[in-house]
Amino acid sequence: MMDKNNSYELICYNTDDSGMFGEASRVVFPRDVEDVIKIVFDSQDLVPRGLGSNVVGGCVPSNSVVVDMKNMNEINFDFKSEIVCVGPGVTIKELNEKLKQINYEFPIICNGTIGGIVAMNRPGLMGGYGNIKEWIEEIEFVNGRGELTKFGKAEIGEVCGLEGITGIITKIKLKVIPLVERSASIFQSNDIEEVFVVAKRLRLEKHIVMLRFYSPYFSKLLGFPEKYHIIVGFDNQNGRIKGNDYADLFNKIRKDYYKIYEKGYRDSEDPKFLFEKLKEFVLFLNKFNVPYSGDLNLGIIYSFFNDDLKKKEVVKMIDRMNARPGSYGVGLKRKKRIDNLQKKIIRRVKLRHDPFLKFNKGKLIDIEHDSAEENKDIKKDLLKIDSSLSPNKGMKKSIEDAQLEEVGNVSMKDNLDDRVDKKLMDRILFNKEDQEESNK
Amino acid sequence: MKTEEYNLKEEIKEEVANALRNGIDNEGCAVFRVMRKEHYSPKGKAIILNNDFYEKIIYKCNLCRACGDGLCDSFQKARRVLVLKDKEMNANKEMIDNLKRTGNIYGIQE
Repeated sequence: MMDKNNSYELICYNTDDSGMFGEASRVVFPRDVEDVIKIVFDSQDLVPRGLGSNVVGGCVPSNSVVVDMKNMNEINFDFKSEIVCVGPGVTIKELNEKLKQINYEFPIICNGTIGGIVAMNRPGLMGGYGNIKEWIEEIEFVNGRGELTKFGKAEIGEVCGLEGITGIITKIKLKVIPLVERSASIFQSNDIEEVFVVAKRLRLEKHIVMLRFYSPYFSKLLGFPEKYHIIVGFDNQNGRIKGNDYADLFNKIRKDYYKIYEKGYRDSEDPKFLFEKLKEFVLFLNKFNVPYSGDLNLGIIYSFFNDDLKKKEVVKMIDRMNARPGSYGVGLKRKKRIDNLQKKIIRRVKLRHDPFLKFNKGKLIDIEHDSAEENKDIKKDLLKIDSSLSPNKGMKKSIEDAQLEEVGNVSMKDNLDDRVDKKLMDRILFNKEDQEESNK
Repeated sequence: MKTEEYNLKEEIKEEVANALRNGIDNEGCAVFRVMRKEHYSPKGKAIILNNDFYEKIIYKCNLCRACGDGLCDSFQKARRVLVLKDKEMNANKEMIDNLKRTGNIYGIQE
């Protein structure tokens, strides 16, 4: 378990896909729960790591011991309950390869180990299946006191989505589904209004599990015409693209970000909005010529940058629109995005499970730093209350708020549905005309 | 340092730095899937080369191109650097020796 590390081995653990660099003092490779408990007792500063596919610095160490979980990769399947029990080091790809042999699958498809994906509570490529949290039945983890703990559905929020700051996940029970033959259709348009009208309608369809949206520039990079595209994924054979063609298309979408990275757009943001606010954000990105893709099921828009100035403007807009982090998480990079209430809640949960502050120091929240910041905020709030007693100042503030609201408001027209020819859409997307003809 | 070695190192550094920026598919690597340690992954090896470590671990690659087109070429160049640095694998030396002696890499004499 405790290998002696070469200097070139340690270097590999200093970074993840975020491009941020830290320093690993040692790397350990636990094989079972006993190893993990021993590590927790022996070390003070621990950074659990899966595949290192995180883009927000979620597993960048700061002179810490890196716990590489990839060797905990057992997979056990229970046919009766259709639940698979996996170690945190199994990748989604490996799990699905195993499950495919017995005609089952796990539909949250993304890069990374299951432990990492659970810690970040990431959604898959097919947004219709939601985030991984919805698929967890039970989590087993080792907390900061070195105790092995099991959490059922009601309590998984204390581990899932907390980016490894409460403990090291050692086992996860996941729901799986029988293997589905999927298909897809592609909707393309030059008109952004039309795109959102169609998307709004498609979101209501029960069998649509993926609504992947691409800007004209991104579409061009993927080999499509330079128009807006929605890749519509079905969990049945209603789509036009089936079989091997579907597999090729899915692989293309799965690795879409490589195409945009190649063009120098190496920084990205993943704000999550209500569907009604998406259009406003997309129009804003168009104005700044920022390429983007999106998951219209979940309301996440992935915007890509090769320029810091543009990014600053977009981040300002994201803050103004009160968007939540979508699928990348918070990590080291985006701690400012968490508001004080969330911080308070996270801190309480963290201290409950990790009172000695052993896990993932500096990720998600800064505990020592935050308490001082919080006091400042409380003082600020008190000052605000004082200033609001003066009538003029209070009025000025309300005017400012009103202006902000005006800038941030959405001018979506809700009656846009009428403009779509449903028959035309059925023909383009659902292959219905072809089916009717074949029935005849 | 020989000119050839220097040039190769410069080329490799540029290529791996670019690959690291563009993203590398670790999950496809057969060696990584078995060994399950970061330094066996294509990304790990790219980081090692980017930091000017030329070690025998570079030989632990199938050159199968599962990680993308560019990296395998860089790893092949890195092996050339290792040969120039006299850090070649014994098995390699033996194969070359066999080839010279018998005309096949296994050393089977007719």
